[in-house]
Amino acid sequence: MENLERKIVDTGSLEELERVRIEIFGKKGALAAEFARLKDIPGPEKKAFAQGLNDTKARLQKLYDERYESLKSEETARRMREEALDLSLYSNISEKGALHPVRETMDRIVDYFVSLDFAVESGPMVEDDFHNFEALNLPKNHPARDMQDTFYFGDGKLLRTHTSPVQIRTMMREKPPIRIIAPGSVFRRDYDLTHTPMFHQVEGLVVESGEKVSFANLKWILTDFLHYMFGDVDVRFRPSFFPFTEPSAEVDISCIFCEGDGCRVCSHTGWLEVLGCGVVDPNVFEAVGYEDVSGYAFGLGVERFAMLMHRIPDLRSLFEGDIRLLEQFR
Amino acid sequence: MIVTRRWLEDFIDLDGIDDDKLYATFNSIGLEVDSLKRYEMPAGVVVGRIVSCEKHPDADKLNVCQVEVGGELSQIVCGASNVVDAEYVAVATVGAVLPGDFKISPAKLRGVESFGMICSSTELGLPEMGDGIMILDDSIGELIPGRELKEYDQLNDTVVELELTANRGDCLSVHGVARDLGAVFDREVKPSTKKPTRFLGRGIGRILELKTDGEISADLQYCIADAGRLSPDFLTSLRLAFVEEKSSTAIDSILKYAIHSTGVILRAYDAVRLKNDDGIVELHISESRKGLVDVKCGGKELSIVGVSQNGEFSANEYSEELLLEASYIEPEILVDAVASESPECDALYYRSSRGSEPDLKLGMECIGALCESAGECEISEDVVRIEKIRRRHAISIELDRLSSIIGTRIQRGTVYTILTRLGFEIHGNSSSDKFGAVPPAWRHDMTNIHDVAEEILRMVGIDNIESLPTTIVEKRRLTPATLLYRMKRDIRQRAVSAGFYEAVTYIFASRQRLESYGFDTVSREKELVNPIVEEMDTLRTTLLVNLLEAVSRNVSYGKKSIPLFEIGTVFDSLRDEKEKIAFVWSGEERRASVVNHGKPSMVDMPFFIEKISSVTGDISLTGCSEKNGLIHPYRSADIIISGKRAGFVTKLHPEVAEEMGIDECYIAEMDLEAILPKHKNASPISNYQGVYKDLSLLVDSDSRYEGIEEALRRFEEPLLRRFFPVDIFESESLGEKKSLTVRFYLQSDEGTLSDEEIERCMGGILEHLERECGASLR
Repeated sequence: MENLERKIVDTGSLEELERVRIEIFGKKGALAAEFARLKDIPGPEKKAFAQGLNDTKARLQKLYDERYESLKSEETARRMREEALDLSLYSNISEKGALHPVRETMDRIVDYFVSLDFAVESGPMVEDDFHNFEALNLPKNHPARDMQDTFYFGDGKLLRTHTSPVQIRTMMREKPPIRIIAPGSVFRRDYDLTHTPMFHQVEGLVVESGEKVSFANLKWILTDFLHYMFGDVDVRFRPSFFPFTEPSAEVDISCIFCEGDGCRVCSHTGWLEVLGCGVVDPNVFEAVGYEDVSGYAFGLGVERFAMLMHRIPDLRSLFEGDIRLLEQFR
Repeated sequence: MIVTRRWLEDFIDLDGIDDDKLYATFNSIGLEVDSLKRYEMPAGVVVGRIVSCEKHPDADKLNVCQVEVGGELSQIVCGASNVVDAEYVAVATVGAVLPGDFKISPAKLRGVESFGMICSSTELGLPEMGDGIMILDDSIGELIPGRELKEYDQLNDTVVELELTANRGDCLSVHGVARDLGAVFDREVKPSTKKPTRFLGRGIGRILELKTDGEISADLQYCIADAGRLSPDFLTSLRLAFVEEKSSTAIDSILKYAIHSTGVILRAYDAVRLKNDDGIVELHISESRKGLVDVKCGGKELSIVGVSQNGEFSANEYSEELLLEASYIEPEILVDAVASESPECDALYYRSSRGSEPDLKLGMECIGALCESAGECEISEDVVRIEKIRRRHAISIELDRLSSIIGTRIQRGTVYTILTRLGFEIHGNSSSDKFGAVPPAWRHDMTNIHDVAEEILRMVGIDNIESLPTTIVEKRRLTPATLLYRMKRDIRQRAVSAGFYEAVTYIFASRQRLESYGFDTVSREKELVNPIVEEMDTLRTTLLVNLLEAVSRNVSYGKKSIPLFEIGTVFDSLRDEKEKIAFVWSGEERRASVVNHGKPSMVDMPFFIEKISSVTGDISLTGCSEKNGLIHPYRSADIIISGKRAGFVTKLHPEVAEEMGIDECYIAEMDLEAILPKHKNASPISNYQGVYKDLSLLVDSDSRYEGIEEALRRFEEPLLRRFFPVDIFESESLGEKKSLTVRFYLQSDEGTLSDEEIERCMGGILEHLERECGASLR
């Protein structure tokens, strides 16, 4: 009996254990042989003999089960060790590309306003003087037109210099209330270190009937928007001038690079200009045929936001499909 | 527009307002500060009086001066040529430290001892004021030799550069800026105390006759002055240097100073050259076209008001008698006239087009005072003037309306005070919530209540307005543009997952380049007339050319795998806009890593198509009908989506690739509309197992799979659910044929397929293909 127990305990592998199992528990195995002797055992001793055999069988079974479990987990452990792989070799092998930082920044801006119940509107890039200037209270010859250099076509049309024409088109198509943002490409005839002939803007317009909309509303939404985009920065409104809004303001955030101490990026002022805005000038409403309404409008340059948020140093690099820049946004 | 603190103090008391407060206030009232610079005289620099000045014995260019500096005479060697004319100068004494850490010590110049230095303006940190040393006069105060320059206020100044908005022509003068500060600080603004005190004996009526043709749109005022020898005083020159106004002659300096100070458009003519035989200057004022007012004398043009001046008659340094002119014309009238007639405009047009100072008396008094302090010069006491009658309209102010524009209740008293300080005339009952306010003549930008609201807002301070969220009414805002924006975002994310980088390139392109690649261009009449550079002289009619240029650049940066995509607008020959999506992949399929043993494969067509389709969904590819120079004639196809031609895909033509220095490169361009998601409906699914069966067919070597595909589509067999090619085998042993293996998926809705059914079906397929395509079983 100890012999058999010894055999079980001494097995070194699952195959060996299987052989031992057949040897002991098999049809032609040791236990079977012992059970076969039962018929030769005299009557009164049969019961004791059978009992003893069953006990032995149970003991051996238990030993077997234990040995099986033990060998199994060793086997599993061995197999797992064989599957050892230095995963650090496979760091950073993603084949994922990246969204363009300007487009992605635009997405983020659009997200904010859509969540505040703004609709997205779009319009043509090739525009006419009325939609791009006149309807926006910029009559011909006005010195304020100097503020923008325009691309013109032979037939008198032009490339839009801001996305404001989309606002005009929307107002001419629909009745108030209006609550829209117009993201898109815009074009100005300027090409140097800080200007490209094409860039992106998001402009917004809110119009309600009566006198519901005020400068205080504008202050609320733009302050909240800037906190959403830049975190806990100070926001400063400075009175300014735009032909299509009155009162107008330019909005600055405290410089995110030097936190207001003064650095090269903010020209040592501690502030970064990021937005223009104002209450819509009544002449604009007149041009689109709206009566008894109030509204506000705002506009921002997406490249400016993207460059500030992601510390992108060179504006022109954003239009070159330069993978050295793009891959940093994976 | 540059102003200085001391110059402002000629008009307004700035006591208690330090530089920080000034800076913050300018910004908060809408006069944006570009820069603020403080000038301070170093300690140890004092007034010196030159007692004698002799040539240096051993150096031609040097002079040895004896300078009185506080009760003693100091010997100072000086190299400036103008020291011989100087009496009072700035002396840096021994021990003084000048800007740039320049310490003054006793020295020997060519053997002669020198104790101290006579300074030029720049050596003291001041702006440049001509060559040589700085010559002082009592315009800065009583000159006491030995007195520290630190004690002369005018030399210790703060210069502020303001960026003015186009509507604030009234702030293009120091007086104008002072006016705005007076409004926000509630302090009195007085026109400068400088006024002429001595006058010409003879009246101007004896010298000047003015004739006008009908009604004239401009205001004009004239004075005569005996010029004598004009020499602007030191303070005038210093301030002009602070505000970066360069001038060539004395009269030029005086004019520039008066203009900068008061904002009035001033001109000076040589009166002697204008006098007729009787010694009278006959001026003839006429308006050739509304807004262009000509000033003529004896038939010759002297100037056009607000536009330009004839140099032939301008006063210069030799003029003995000056005819001084102050003018004003409303900017709206002027600008319209200039726009339609396009005359040449001089520097003063910048001011007149934005609205110059209408109070001409201010300008005349200023220039009179300057002439007087600049020399033995007297100005005529009376003037000859013409003035246009202008009606100034009151703006109707309703307190409720103002409050609702701003968004907070503004008190009546506040509005009244602010408008009064700004120069408005209040009409009507000042205790009523409704009244009229007439804007001052210098604010031509005040036309409606919104303009008034801006004034209230900027004076109260935007920071002091509490922000308020808007209450809105629910309305569906999912416009087509909003939905399209989201769909594009999803497509772009898929492209990113597939491994592409999003490029944004200009909508401009080079016409020559587009044409050389066989692309359409915008028709000539609709072309750009003022492109910014030659390489961007037209609008792009494809995304691919600009993308390929980006690929080329990336190759030069050493990038081995260049996958780019772009969604953007292209134009056609009629200049109509359409959105397209384009993909390019050049070089290696993926980045080198352990996975590919550092040797990634080069991109090939199947890989490229897999990548594109992971973005667009399944695309059908058929013979290429697109014709342009980028297309590889034997490795290209049209892209068909939902039965419609959407675009094309091709390997880049090797000649173009070589020209651009690009390796293996695959490109595709499609209409964006074609890949927008479409609505899908479900179909019933069979519960019964289907089977896959392969057929290897022998077909002509030059036949295309699409022939088999088309034939199978025409074959009506309900059990045939799907089929697709799985292998192609070409070998010489097959001669003019190739082996194409197609996998078929058969399934029934009624039950599991029996072997006979499968046999029958496949047999039918084979027969059909043999008949329609000449294919045979391999």
